[in-house]
Amino acid sequence: MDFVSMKNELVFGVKLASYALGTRSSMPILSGLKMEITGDRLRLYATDLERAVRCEIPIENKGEDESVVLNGAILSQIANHLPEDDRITMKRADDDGTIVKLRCGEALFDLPTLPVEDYPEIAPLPEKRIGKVAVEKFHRGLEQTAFASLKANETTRLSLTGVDIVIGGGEMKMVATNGYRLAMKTLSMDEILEEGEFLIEAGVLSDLDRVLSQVNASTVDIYRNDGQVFFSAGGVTFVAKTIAEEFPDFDRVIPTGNTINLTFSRQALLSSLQRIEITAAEESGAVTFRVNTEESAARINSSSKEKGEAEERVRLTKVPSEEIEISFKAEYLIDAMKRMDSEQIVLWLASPEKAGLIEPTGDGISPQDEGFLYVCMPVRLGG
Amino acid sequence: MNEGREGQITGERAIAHLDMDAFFAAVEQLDEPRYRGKPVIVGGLGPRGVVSTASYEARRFGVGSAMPTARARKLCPQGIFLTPRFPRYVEISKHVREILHQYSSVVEKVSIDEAFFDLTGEAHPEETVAMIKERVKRETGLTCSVGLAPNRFLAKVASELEKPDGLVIIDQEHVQQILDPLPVRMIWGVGRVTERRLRSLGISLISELRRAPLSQLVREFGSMGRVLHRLARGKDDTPLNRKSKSSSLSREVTFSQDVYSTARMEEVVRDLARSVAAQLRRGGLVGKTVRLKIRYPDFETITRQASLITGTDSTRIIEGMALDMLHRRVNIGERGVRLIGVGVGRLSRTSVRQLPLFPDDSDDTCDADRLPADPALPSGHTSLASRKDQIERGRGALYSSL
Repeated sequence: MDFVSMKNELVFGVKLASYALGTRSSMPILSGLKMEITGDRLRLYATDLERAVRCEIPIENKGEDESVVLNGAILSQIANHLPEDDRITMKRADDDGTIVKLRCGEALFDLPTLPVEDYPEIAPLPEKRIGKVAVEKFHRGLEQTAFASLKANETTRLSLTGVDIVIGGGEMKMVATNGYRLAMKTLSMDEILEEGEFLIEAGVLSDLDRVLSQVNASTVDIYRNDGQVFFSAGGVTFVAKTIAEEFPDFDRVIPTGNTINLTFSRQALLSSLQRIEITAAEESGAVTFRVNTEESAARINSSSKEKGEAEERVRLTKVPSEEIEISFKAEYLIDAMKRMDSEQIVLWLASPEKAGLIEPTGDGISPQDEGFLYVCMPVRLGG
Repeated sequence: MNEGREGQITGERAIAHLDMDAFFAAVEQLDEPRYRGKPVIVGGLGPRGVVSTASYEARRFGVGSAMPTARARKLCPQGIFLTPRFPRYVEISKHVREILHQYSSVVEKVSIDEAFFDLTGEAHPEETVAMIKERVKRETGLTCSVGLAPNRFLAKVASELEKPDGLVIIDQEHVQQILDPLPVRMIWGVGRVTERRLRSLGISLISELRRAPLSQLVREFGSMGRVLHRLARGKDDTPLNRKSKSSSLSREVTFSQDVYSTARMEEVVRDLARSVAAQLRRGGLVGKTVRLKIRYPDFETITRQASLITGTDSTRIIEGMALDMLHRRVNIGERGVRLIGVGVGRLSRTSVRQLPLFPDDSDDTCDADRLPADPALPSGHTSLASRKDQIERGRGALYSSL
């Protein structure tokens, strides 16, 4: 091993790969970053077995084709602190084959290698591509759905830790739920070669999102094999393990017959919910909406024995068709509205114990919000 | 559940409310004679401290509960400022409750210095409350105020009317006469905000609230409007809560012979989970933690616990979590088990609950009172009760921490 690379290229590759570095002490090899030299290409690999990143950068190869594994966290720290210089050279030490020397300007590091034969095989890109989507749209979709899932340490139902991605009918649907609220984004794809559905942990997808944000590419190609989905853009491949559990049947919980239309200024409702939430009871976090057929305003209030009570009137664009009193966990509504961009939103209601539906509405629907909908179950108050 | 509760709701009830007078301050004056007759203020003494209780002497200076201690010091510079001694207050509080339990089987502790108790069916409840008040004074050296009335709301109003050392009995005929001149603030649940809104409608006395049409109150306050309408008439059906703080519930079985089969353990966990869930639903409770308890043949006992973000009474969720702990967090392979328990903790009342999106996933629609058998139970599946012959102690234990 003996090569020269442009500093920015190698730093870029190491940073991307670091998103997939393992931290489990039970498999120390996963803390390694694998470098595979083939001619004038250097491939970098990292994986924690849930996700993997593979990227490729050009080098000037002065030695043999070979592979080494170095400690990824150390490499990544070095990448963050390199001196002013354009080039990096990496070379196996002449006297000790287990050491790689990294030089940049006047800085010299001697780095111990990890056993390359222990490094797990990362599946190559499958032959069959299933589609292509714009990076920007995909990013927005994740931003508006992944938050609705549960963290892995909050549940034993793995399906609720994921974002379900359904490809079909010319569209991609992204759906996530924690069992009480559900976020869904429908976006158009540039190309669909095969329809299908796969479920990926939200945390893994957020790493994918970070990787994509750094890659210079406007679209991402999607491939699939058994149990893995591959996202490939600008020479970088991100492999995500799929969750082998069935996602809940979300179509049937998206309300279609809600007739009570409460249209708010998004910003006005959001800031008043953030205030009213302050006195919501710890246990439920509930705020109560009340509207009648005489007034174009919703009264929102919350109260708890310990914190006090709060009430606010929030303007509606029109007088509701029916009166209703319904409570929601404030956090759930705030979560969704924070991630929307439109001037106005509509909360569609049916009855106090039926799901509410939030959508962007009005003339000023932001392109950012197209295809977004959010379903939230109410909180049943006593009595 | 106590018998006769139904009768209490429909028929004439006798509910009493006991409130210790200036409790913390009074205890300090009791224990330290030098403080007697002087303004005593108990609370946090730090820069951000708040007054817990002010003695009646201190109240004359305008010092009241929940006031910043710094302000109390300005109002009453000669006051004796003390930090609370909770263990001592708890000791006295327990003694008072023991007295109440001697006269009533239904005692609802509201706080350390306040309780409701039910005297329905007593021949002379007014004599009983007088006797209780006398005993509290004799046995603790402290005074209390007691109210006796046909319901919870009125009993609380009554105990407040002649504080301190008061004893007020409200009978059905005089309800309106007593309530009418009182400010709406006396109604439980009317906080500052509601009070202000009522005032903007021209309502500041209970008599005025009583004259307000129901439709107006509902328009203004929603379901709370209906409650106000009833309370203004002295009507309140709320039963006493004997155990509002029950914080865990569990069932366990000890096997007559140690069990080594994982399938058998799973089956028992499922049965226990179903039984615990049914009990939660019967009690109108939901829990936020699920616990699995295992005792090995050598009597080593371990428990594993997992948490939920929202309370549940769902068989499926409790069973799923308990089985998951059994599989992943307990070593059951070769050791075998002697006892298995499944419990649910951090309980709260179901009345406020986040409804689920996927109801048949979590069988939340199941109402245990109407459907004693779990609908998720496959037909032909034997229940825990019918398998008692295989189990040494089939009855589960219900315990609560408070």
